[in-house]
Amino acid sequence: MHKIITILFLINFCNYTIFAHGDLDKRIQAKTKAIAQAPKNSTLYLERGFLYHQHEEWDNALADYLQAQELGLQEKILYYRMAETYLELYLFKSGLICTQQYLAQDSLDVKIHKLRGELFYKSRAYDDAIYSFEYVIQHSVDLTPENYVTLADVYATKGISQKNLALEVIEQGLEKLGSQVFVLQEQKLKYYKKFNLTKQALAQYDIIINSNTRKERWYYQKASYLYQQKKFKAAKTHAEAAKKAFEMLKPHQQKTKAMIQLLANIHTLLQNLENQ
Amino acid sequence: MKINFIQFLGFLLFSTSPLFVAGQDTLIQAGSEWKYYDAGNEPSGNWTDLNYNDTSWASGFAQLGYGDGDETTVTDDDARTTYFRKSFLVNNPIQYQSMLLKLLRDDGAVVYINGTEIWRDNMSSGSVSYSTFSNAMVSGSDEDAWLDRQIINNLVVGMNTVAVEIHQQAFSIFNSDISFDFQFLADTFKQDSIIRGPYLQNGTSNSMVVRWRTADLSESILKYSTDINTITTIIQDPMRKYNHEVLITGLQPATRYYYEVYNESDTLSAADSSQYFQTNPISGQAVPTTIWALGDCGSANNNQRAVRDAYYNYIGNKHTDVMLFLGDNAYQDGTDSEYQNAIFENMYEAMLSKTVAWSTIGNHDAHSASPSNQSGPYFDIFSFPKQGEAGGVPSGTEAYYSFDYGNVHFIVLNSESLGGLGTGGSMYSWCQNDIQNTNADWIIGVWHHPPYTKGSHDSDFEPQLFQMRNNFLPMLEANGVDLVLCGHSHSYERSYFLNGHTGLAFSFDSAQHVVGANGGGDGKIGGDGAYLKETIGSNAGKGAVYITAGSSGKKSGGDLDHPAMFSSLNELGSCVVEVQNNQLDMKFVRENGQIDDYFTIIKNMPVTSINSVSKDNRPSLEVHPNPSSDMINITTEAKLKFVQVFDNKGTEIKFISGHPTSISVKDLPNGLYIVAGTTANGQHLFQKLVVGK
Repeated sequence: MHKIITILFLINFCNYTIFAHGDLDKRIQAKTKAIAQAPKNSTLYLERGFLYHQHEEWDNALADYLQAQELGLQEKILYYRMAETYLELYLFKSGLICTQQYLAQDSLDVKIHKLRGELFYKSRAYDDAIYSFEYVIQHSVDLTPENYVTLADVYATKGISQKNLALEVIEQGLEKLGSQVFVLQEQKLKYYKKFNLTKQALAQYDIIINSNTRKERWYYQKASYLYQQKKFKAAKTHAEAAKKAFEMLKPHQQKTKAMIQLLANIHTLLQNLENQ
Repeated sequence: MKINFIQFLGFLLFSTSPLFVAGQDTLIQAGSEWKYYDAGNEPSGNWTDLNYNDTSWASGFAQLGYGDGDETTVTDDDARTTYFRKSFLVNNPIQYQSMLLKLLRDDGAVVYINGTEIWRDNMSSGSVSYSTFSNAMVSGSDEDAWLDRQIINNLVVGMNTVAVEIHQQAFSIFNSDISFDFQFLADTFKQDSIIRGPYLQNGTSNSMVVRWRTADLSESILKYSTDINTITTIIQDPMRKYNHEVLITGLQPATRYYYEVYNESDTLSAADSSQYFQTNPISGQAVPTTIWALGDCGSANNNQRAVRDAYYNYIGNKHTDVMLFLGDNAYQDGTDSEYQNAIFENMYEAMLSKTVAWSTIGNHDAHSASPSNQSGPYFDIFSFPKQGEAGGVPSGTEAYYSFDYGNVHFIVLNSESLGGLGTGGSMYSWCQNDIQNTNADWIIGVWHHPPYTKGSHDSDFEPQLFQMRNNFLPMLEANGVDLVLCGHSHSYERSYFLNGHTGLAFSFDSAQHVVGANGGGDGKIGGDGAYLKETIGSNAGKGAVYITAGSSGKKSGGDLDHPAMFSSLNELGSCVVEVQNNQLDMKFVRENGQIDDYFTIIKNMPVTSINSVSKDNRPSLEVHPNPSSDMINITTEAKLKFVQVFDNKGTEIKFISGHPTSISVKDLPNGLYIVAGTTANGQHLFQKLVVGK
């Protein structure tokens, strides 16, 4: 069902974007003229396909890529673009076939392994996705937090039996990219909560609180978690700490929408705690 | 004067001139034969082009000109501007690593190679025509002086053309001559010199990164000092390389350091009054801050230079604190050689050597670079903070990051990677934590794809623009963002004072989306009034201005009718943002120097300072005992308004209002801190503090 809705959305969006303005439209028009003059030039189809691709007009992009292939183009970039497009269209098997054609020409490129990981993950072939994402981590020169989060998420999706592996991947990321990288610290907290590792989750909240200059949001988050865990006394302590941290903010910071909402949430939580 | 052997050796070792190794070809000799056009008007067609047909032009040997009596070929003395061309064959341009041009000109000159301008001397910026005069008269010995310009190799296989236009200063009885001769030298072996930079990156209140590229493999050696006459502190990396990157640490905040760059045998870039770096003030301190923002600048042409020169004229000798590239910095594909022409050579080198440049990735940069693994020229060229070292929360990636300058917090996002623009993505999560972790008074968002535009792109249709508006704007606005700078459309579009407009353009409703009584006005003091960011009432914390400023290299028109925009201009220019305490002023400086739009935001908050940080004649602030792990005593003859303690990343740890005589540091982990006191008249006094036994 999700797939059908997405495809309907994409079709609708493609119709919508066909009227788009801007440089891309001009470039598509210019490329269309060039194709009219040289209809057998496969590279022109690849180039126009990528312009559609940038517009997220996936069906037009795919039509051009297929035409380029039909005209004999076998460059690996064509297969990469086609695989990307199939991924967007939820046609994972077709996408994987394209990545194999790419790999036949260049088996080492981390970019194609990353794309294969995404295709495997979406098609629920988790072990293959893990293999691909691990390849990316082992062979990339510059890694990003997303590389680790993506791999850890595959393990986490496989279920609670894989929790240690998911957490291990995040630890590797923290070791490689820096112990304070926020996205990885937050991901670690999410896994502790997801796998009901309450003690570790509370300790992880403290790590995040201590690494932040402003602490009001994270005191509140920890208080809410403690409340859910029915640790009311500790929840109250942290909710009060959140309120105190809020009061330390400069007036113009206190008046932002997010902080007004936070203060309201703190008051609600304190009220709930009073009722316990 | 005789020189002895030691002096001669010293000259060889320490000369500031580039050291030529071997193998120099002369592509154009002095005294060569040139085609010239002196008919008293501009040649028709694109006369600088490689393929231009100049068969109808006259020819003669240099020196060409009139009025001095030393000319080999005398040209028409009625011509205000005389045009010259010379074509030459190059079979193997790749053999040349770097090139030296030598020009004899009287009065002004513009030099082109294969149709691209590569040198302009004694001429104003912007377009030139037959009737354009040179800036100043060249006379006396200057008429015979050879000027030098080093360039990188941009020759092609086969025929190449040098085209030069020589402009008279003005017709008068005192200036009735012109002169022209030219030499083109190319080094077949690599030449030991800097071919990129030096340029500054990743500046903080206590560190700086200096980068440069050499033509040959060499060690990285950098010297620096606060005293231009005694530059002694040295950093040396013996590993020989082409691309050099030196991190300098342990610096004082808000301090100017002069620096020099060396290789193992030579001075490559000597210190002078314009080669310096200036460390950031301590995060959170209100100091006057000047920001220069350039969007889609990378055309590598005279439009880009005209925008640059207009800003240089605007700023004069005043220091620029922050240089911001809004993406698409080098067309068409962000390659290294395109960056060389659009950024580093004959473009921003004077600014880049003294002001830290920051950037967000544009779609054209991403043609050759990948944010997902931080590879490609864009990521190779820039060094951005991944560990929160310049302020802000560690992002772990250079694709998005944040930094502080004084009381301004900059959040730089990657709007190019469409898959990462969702509210569940890593960048969103990081950004939310970052913006809720800053104590800066001002927050400026920076990314490439604008949330509102009807220029050469349309924010109603294109996915990145749509997603940034729908996903990121609500969160940024909820947390008090003040200004957003973007590029992408090659025009200037500036919004009213907005909040909550995430829909399509037609759904803009000023009654609903404009903030405050002045929010729907021009934002000008003296006009409808500055935009006011309130801390009380129903509008508290609301309001931001959104600017699409992608015309720093070219303009591409469009409908330019987005209803959320107060000003929509199809003009070249750049943005100057000046922040002082609770006031932010923005000006759009056109390529002709005209300021076509400006506005002010005033924030309702306590004013902490009205003076810039000054190192002179400040009273001292003493901290004792130091080191300490318990209580510290503070002594100063000044009357303090408040005291702050910052950690070594510039994060405020303590804030004590009034004039405390002692502060407890029991709760601080061991390490280095800065104790900063601010006086009633805004002076900032600093002292280092070591916490530990």
